[in-house]
Amino acid sequence: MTAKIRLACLAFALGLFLAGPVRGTTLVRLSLDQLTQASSNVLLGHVVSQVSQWNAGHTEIVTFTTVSVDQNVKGNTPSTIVVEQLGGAIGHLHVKVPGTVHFFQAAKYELFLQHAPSQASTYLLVGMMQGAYRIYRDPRTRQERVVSPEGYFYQGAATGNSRAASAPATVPLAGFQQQVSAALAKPIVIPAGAQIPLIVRTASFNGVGRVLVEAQTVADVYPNRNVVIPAGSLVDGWGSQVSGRWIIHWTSLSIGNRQARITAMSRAVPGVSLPGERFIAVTR
Amino acid sequence: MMRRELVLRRRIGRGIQARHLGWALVAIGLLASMAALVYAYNHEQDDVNGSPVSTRWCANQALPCSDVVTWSLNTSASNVNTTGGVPVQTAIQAAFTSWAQASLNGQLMTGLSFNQGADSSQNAPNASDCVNVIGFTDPTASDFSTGTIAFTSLATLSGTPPQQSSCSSGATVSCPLPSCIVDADIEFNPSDTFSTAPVTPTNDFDLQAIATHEIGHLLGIDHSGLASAIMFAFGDAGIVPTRSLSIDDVLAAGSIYPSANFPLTVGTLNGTVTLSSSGIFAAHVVVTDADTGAAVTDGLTNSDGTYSIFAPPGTYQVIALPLSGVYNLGEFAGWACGYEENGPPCCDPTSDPSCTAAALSPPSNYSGKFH
Repeated sequence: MTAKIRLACLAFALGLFLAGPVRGTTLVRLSLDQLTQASSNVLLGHVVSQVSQWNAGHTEIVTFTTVSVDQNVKGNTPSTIVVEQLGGAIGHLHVKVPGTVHFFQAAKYELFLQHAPSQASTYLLVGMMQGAYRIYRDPRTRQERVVSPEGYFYQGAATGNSRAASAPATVPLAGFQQQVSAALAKPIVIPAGAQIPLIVRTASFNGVGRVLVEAQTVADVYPNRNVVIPAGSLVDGWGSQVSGRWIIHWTSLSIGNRQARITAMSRAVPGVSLPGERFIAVTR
Repeated sequence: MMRRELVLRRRIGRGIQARHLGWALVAIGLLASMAALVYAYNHEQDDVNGSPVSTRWCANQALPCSDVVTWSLNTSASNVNTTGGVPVQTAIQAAFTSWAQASLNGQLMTGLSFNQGADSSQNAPNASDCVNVIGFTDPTASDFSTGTIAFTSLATLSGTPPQQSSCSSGATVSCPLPSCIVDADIEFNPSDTFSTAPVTPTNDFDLQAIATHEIGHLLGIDHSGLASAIMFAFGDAGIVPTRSLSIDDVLAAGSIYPSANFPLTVGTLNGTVTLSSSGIFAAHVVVTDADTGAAVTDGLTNSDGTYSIFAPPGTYQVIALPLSGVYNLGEFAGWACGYEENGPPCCDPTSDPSCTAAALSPPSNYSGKFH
C-alpha cells in the first residue's frame, strides 16, 4: 500500500469518527466502566428463542428473548433469563424501535443487563444496543472475538472529544473479558461537582435532633466518562437540625451492589418533613 | 486477509449519473477493524415476500403518496428547561422544519410537510391508535434503560398491497405500498432533563437536536454510521450538539420523500465491490470528500456486490470496507448458523461447495428473522 493511500485511509477513519460535533442522539455513549457499573448482571449466554407479543393494554408489541446463561460475570442469574425489548412483529404489523438489538438465533453474546421492573428473571439491556456484544468465532484463526455494538470499542478515560479513543470493531473475547474484569474491579469515584438530583425516601430517628436519611436518585447522571449514576441509586446520609431546618450530609452512594463515598450537603426549608423532599446534591 | 486496496476518485456533475465503476476494492484490515459497521444512512425496512422494502408514510392515501405527516404533542413537559430558550412546542416545530426544509445547494430535496394536530394526553407509546404523539411523561420504566435519552416507536404495515389494519379507534388503515408507516410515537426519557437554550446546560440534553434525530426515525430513517449525521445514534456528555441536518441526513430523507429537485440535484455513484472476481455482499461503501477527507455519505453493497449511492455534485473518494469476519451473509439472510462450535458455519452455499447451510432466496434481508 502506498503512503498516499495509507494517508487517505487514515484520514477516512479519523474523519468517520471525528467528523464534527455530535448531532442529535438517542443514546448516551457508555464507556465499559459505565456499562459495568449500570449493570446488575453481566453474563455470557446464547440465544435460545424469541417471542413477540402485545402488552396487556394492546398498545405496544414487546419482544422477549430467552437466553441460556453460560457464565455469570457479574451477579447471579437463573440458568435462563429473558431479555425484554420494546418492538417486534406480529402478523403484518411491525413495531420498530431503532437502537434495539436484533438478536441472532443460537448466537452467543456478552450481555450487560439491568433488572426489568416487570418480572424477576426479565432484564433490560443497559444502553439498549450498547448492552449486547455479539461473540463469533473467526473462521480463519478459530479465535473467539466480540463485536462492539457501536462498530468500535470505546475504552473510556478520554477527555474532550472522546471518539478519538475509538478502538477496533472486534477484539478477542479473552482480552475483552479482561477489560470487563478490570472495569468491575475499579473503585467508583464520584468526581467533585457532580449534581445528583434525589428524593428522600426515609428519615429515621438517630438521637435528639439527628436523623439517618436514605434517598434515591431520580435521574441518570453522567458526571464523566468513567461514572454513571443510574436513576434509582441509593444515597445515604445523616441530618441534623439547626435553627429549625435540617442540614443533610450525604456520605455514600450505592450503584448496584457497590458503594462510593461522597461528600455533599443539602439544606431543607425550615419545618419541612424530609420524606418526599427533593434535593440536588452537589459533590465536593 | 484481503490486501488489495484502491481509492477511487469520482466527480459527479449536476444531474449526471456516474457510470458503473467496475472496480475491485478492499481496504486493509486496519481500516476494516476501525470502521463503523453496517450503518449508512439507512431506511427502515420490512421483509415483504423475502425482499427488503423501505417503508414510508402513505397509509390511507392514493398513489402517488403525498408527503404530509401529522403529529401531536403532549404538552406535559415538566422535564424541559426552557430558561433562556424557546417554548417546547417551538423547539419541536423547529425540528420538524429542519426536515421539511432539507436542502442541498439551495434546492429542497424533499416534498415533506408537517401538520400539527390537536394536543394529546397520551403519555406512553401506542402503536395501535394511528396517532403520532410526542411525549415526555412515559411512565413505563422498562422503556428506558440507563443511557436511553429518547426513542421512537415506529409501526409499519407491510405485505402484498393493499394491506389493511385496524386502529384502536375502530378506523381502518390501508397501505397501498408494500410497506407503510401507520403510527409513530416519540418518547423523551422523563428522568432526563432537556433544554431549549442556545447553550445546553450541564447535565441537560438539547431538546431540538434530540427531536430532530427522533423525527428522522418517525420518517422511516434508521441510524447512520457517520458521526456528522443527525441520525448518528450516540452522544457524549459535554459535547454541544448541533441541530442541523448533514448531507447524509438530507440524502436519506430525499431518497424516501424526493422532491422534484432531488433527481436533478444529486447524482448516483454506482459500482461493484468484488474480491477474486466475486461480488461482496454488505461491504460498507463510504463516500468521502476528496478535498477534506470528511465522510459525506455511505451505503452497503447488494447481494451481488453492487451498490448505488446518492451524492450531491462534488469530487469524492470511495472506500469499501469488508465486513467479513464481523458480519456474515447468513446473518443478514436470517440463517440459523449464528455461533455454534459444532454447528453449520455461516457461509454461502451458492459459492462454497463445503457449505451445508440452506440457501436463502433472495439473500438480502438485512433485518434477519429476529427482532
